[in-house]
Amino acid sequence: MLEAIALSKRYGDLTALHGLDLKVEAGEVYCLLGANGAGKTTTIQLFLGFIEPTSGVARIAGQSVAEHPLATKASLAYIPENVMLYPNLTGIENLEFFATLAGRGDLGRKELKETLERAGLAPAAAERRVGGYSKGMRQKVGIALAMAKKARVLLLDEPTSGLDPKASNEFSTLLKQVRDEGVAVLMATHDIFRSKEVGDRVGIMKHGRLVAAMSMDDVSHTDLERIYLEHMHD
Amino acid sequence: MTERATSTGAAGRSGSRSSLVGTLVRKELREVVRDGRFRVVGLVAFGLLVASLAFGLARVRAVATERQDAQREAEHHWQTQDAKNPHVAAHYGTHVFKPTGALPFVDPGIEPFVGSSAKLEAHRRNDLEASPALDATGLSRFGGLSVSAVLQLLVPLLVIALGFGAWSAERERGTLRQLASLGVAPRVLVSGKALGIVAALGAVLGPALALGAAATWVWAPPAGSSSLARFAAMALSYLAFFGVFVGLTLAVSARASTSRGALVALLGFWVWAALIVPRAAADAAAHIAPAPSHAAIDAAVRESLERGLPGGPPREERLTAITEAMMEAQGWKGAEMLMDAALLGGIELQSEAAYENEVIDHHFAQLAAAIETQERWAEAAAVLSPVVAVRTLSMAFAGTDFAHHRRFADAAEAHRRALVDMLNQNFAEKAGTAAWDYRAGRELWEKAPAFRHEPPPVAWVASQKGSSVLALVGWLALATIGAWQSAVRMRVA
Amino acid sequence: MAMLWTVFRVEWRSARRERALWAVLALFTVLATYASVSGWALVRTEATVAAGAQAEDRGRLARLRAELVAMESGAAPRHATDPRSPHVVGRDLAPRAAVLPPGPLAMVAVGQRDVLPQVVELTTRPRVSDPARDDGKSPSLRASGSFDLAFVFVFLLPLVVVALAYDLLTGERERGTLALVLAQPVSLRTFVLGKALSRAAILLATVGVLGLATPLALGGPVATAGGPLRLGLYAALLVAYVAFWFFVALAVDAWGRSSAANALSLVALWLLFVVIVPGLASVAVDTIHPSPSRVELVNLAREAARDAESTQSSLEGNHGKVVDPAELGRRSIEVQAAFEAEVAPVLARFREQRHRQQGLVDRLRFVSPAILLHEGLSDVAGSSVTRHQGFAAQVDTFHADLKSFFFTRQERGAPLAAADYDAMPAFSYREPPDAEIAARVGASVLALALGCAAALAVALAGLRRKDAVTRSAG
Repeated sequence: MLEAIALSKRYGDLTALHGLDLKVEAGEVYCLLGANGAGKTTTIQLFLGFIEPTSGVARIAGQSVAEHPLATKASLAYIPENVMLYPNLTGIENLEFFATLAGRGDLGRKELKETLERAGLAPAAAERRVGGYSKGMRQKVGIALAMAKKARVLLLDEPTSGLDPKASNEFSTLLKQVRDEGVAVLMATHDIFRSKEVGDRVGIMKHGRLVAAMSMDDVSHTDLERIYLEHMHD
Repeated sequence: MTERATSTGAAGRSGSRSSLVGTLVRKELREVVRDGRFRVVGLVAFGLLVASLAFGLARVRAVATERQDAQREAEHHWQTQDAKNPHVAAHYGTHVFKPTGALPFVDPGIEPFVGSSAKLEAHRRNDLEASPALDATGLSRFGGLSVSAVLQLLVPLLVIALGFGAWSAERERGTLRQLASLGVAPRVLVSGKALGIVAALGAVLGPALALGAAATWVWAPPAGSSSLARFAAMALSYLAFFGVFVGLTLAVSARASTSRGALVALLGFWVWAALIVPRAAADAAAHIAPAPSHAAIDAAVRESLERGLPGGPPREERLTAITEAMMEAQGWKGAEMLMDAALLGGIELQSEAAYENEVIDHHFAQLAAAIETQERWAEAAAVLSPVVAVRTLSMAFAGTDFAHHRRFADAAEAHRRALVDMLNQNFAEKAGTAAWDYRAGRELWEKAPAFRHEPPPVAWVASQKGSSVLALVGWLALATIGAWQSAVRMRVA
Repeated sequence: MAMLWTVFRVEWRSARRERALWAVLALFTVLATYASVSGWALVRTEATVAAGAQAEDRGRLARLRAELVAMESGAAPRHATDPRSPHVVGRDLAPRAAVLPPGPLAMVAVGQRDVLPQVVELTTRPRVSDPARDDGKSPSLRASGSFDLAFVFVFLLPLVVVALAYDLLTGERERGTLALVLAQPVSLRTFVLGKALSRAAILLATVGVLGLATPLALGGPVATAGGPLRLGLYAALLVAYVAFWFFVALAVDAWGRSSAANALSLVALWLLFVVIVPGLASVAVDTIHPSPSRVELVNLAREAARDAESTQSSLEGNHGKVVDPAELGRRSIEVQAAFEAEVAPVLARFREQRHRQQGLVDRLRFVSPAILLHEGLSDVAGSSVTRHQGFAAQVDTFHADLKSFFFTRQERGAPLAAADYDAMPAFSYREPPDAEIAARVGASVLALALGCAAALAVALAGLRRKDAVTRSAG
């Protein structure tokens, strides 16, 4: 579903991404590990079409992102590190807004409320203005949007940073659910624990390169941590 | 962030406080100068000031010479008129021309909208003629590009642009926390910020001020008009005005949660204070306190001349009273006088003139009072906007406001009365048996007093506009206290 | 296209929640309403003055006519107020009022109406210059300018547009919602344009109500001839102006780095177009076609009148002598003709220079959208200098007719009869054809539309840039 072929991004003299090759299949969670500045966010932005690659191609469901910017977004959902919403609107109104932009203007209030509930947001909270939401609650709205869009691809940027353990757990459960429904998930994170918990495959990025890639079945928690730190050390 | 200083700490720091402020000011200036945008804006602002000063000077110089020439020509006309009966000469009349104000090139004030010449003749007080407004195009309603317009509209914007992020940008960048952690007294920080803005502004305004002073010196009308004193007073008013905006900008910047919020609030205030209030107040004043038109006053004067002042004795009664008083004062009594037709005629003319003057004074005083009320209402808006206060003071010190105009109109009227009086006296005393066939010549015309009108001293102007001075001082106090308090209670992060 | 409509609808609904937007619109509404009422009050005053002057005129004539009829059957005439003497009646007793009625949409723009005379009193005496507007307004207030709808639209409306549109893109970026928006299948261009359109629609609806409904409710100009055409031109001007400023705001927003920077840039552009350029244009007009000096005119007229006035004064000021009225009449015509011949070339120069000035203003108006709107509104409202110049020309013609009416009788030495009173010329103002105004205002609307196109092109170019989400505030 998600494919990067020799994807590169250069800013003048600085190379953010050196020829990345990546593939994520449907029903698979791929965790991208790495320090800040390793190129995780750049990768995600390239898949979103927020920046243009210097060379190489990013594909979603077989379509090149650069050539079909709007079509590729129809089937993908993005949850940034901090899901920013319109503070004066309620949770439902925000979801309605984004869902309509996504082409699901047909959804009525009842359906939207149900979707929010499925994403873990209490119905009472859904009627309140987003200005008072916690980070976890906003993230749930983002997940609800992904569900409403019936997205086939999910891009996540540091989803568990800043979440308390309970919210983090809820997130993991939801993610597994989504994966089981056949969605391809690319998750950029430094949370090694969660990666082991929800991931199917993992890739380690350093200085814009993918320095290690393995299946989660092949490593234990401690192994993963050790490998990661080893790579970070050089 | 509250000030907590031990006695030693405070004593120790006060010695280096000035250098601390100096450091702060230098850093602010460096930031401003390195910002390419401010260089451009500063240059444009300076360019506009210089251009408007040049345009103002050029235009005003032409007008001033023109009026001086016209005055001389009018005097020449008067003196070279044919020999005629003095009272006929009083009907022939003469013209006086209003000299330009003390500093009209800085603030044109009401000059483009009022007449500049008065026809002086017997029996009537004429309205001023030759208003430039009759020849103006629609473009003149855009306010023109005068120095005062640039100072009142543009410079506050410059202050806002320089200072809206004074505290909020530091907060957003995180440097405010570092500043606060240094233990610098809020007083010092505020002074540093304020002086930083003032210094940046000074780079633009300083040279312009110097140019303006030079222009005033060159322009200086005859001694006694205290042009330089007026220039100083005007400069002081504008400095206070800019101070208001510096203070308000700092106050809002400290209170606002984001730089953007600070800017929006400050721009909103600028739109309110500089665009909305001045015009709305002027417009509303005309509706609240309508004054009678000149035509209405003329009609009232004519009515009173025929029938007597409202609430007063009828015309004939009043005339008799005046004549008797005049005769007693002059010591004329008895039968011999009744045989001198000219003397009798002369006395008749003089008492008629005295009566007319009474009537004119009565009605024109009402007109003046009504217009004063309008002006007061418009000036009262200074509590809503500092721009109104500085505008009033700017026009007043430039000598181009209504108070100065009225002073000229009254002086012209006084001159008219003196002239007519002199002519009537001459007729009464010299005509003798010739009566209405008596002709006076050049010797009499040359005896007429020359019309000279000087702008009043600065102190008079200040006393007239005391309420505006008070309002401006009030705004300055508010802004200073606001800036101070906001800094003391500022949110650091 | 469908997406644009979707975004438009979504934004329209979510705009309900933006308190700042409604606060700005509320203030604007209050100001515009006051401006309408103020303008309407002025129009009512003018209508009253016009009616009053004409009534006084008619009343005066009727009284004189009655007096004449009474005299012809009785009392002895007194020289000073003899209603049968064409000389006395023409010069003193029966001044005729030439009135310029307010135009159909006069409440919208005061224009130059507050300085140019509305009523001109004419006698057979020569006219040198007319008095300025006499309406009991302090000159300081006149200098400030009127708070009419034209002021609100020319000066304040762009700032309202700026307030609504300065952060369409940068605001979303700063709030962080842009990332989520652009992760949806909607292009940046469509999103930003949709937002702009929804706000423009709200503003245009407000302006429509304030600009049209209020004047219509208070004044009802549609009834007068040419009403719908003027209303159409008025509406076109307003729409074009609002659109222009929206596109300029979009252009700045598309290329801008932060909302604060946008706000400052837009205010700077406002200053340029609404204050600086018109100011410079005004200086240019005064420099290239300066008005001849009215002060000089005063002395010139004096010189020309020297002989005339001394003769007249010696005849009138002499309270003792009696002179043959018919002879007085004949001489005075001669003296007046000489005076007018001397003064005419100077007055002609004034008129010429006025025309050249206005011609230059008509050409210079294209340098600033504010001048375009201001002049356009003055034209539509009938408050322009051009209309007054037309009135002045008609007054001159009427003056000539009035003089010839009285002077022919004066020369014949024939006294006036009641029939003459009935035949006396009366002034009635003829409105210029609407086609003139339509052409001028049409050109202004076209120019504004071109400006819109240019600004839109810049905006679209900016929206095509690829770094919308990642652009930093610098």
